Amino acid sequence: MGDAAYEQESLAGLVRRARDGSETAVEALIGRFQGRIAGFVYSLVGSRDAVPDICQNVFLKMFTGLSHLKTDTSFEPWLYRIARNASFDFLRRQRVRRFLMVGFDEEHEELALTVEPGDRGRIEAFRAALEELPRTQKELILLLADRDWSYEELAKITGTTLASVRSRLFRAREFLRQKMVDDED
Amino acid sequence: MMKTSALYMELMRRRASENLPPAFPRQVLQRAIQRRAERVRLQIAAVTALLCVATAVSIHHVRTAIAQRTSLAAWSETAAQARVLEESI
Repeated sequence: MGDAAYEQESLAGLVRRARDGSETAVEALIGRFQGRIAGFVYSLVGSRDAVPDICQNVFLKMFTGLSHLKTDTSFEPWLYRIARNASFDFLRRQRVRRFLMVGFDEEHEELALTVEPGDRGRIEAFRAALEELPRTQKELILLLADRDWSYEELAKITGTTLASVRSRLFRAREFLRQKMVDDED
Repeated sequence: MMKTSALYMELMRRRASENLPPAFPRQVLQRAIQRRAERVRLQIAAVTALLCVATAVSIHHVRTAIAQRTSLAAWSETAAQARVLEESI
């Protein structure tokens, strides 16, 4: 089966074949999700250099855990949960490293904005507002920026309850609305 | 018009993807297969080590049991001889 055929194949079909041990299906799954997972990881950790290693760990965990996955439909939230946990593990390790190394400067990457000049301002404003949000609210906003997840899926990914998702999202959106006005309606 | 959050995420995706090597999926798959093979090798080594220890312990037990049986037989023979000697005196 060629690359084009994999692009056409349904996600459920790919997951099923990957679970049955098809290496080409695993490769196709990684290819299909690498961009989105890399973007999500980057938006959480804020360091581009860390992205390849974290992504590799995410997909290695996916490879070993696929056989334990109960249903094909739970694949996407499950993969994002792995990515979220791997990113937070990285941030935790970084905090310890910063604590141990006196004079270690926090990494802040500048965004080389290759967007329309009109969009640049609102993206910068959005990013600045995001940085002010607590981690638990920020991750929900980022997840919804990536895809229209249901509240149930968001609860699964973040390992919390539906009520927490609702209240966190409400507070985050209120905060962003105040800061941004035109976003998160 | 694209929402700011979606635009931001699109930018993140583009920037992060630039840092992934061109054949990333293949590389990860090869690493995963390699790790699985290493795990299997490690399991085989662990089982082999366990079998070696079990064999050594069994051999030790068998040899000890044989040695005990031999010395007991020797002692009973000596005791019988001593009894015969005592009676003859």
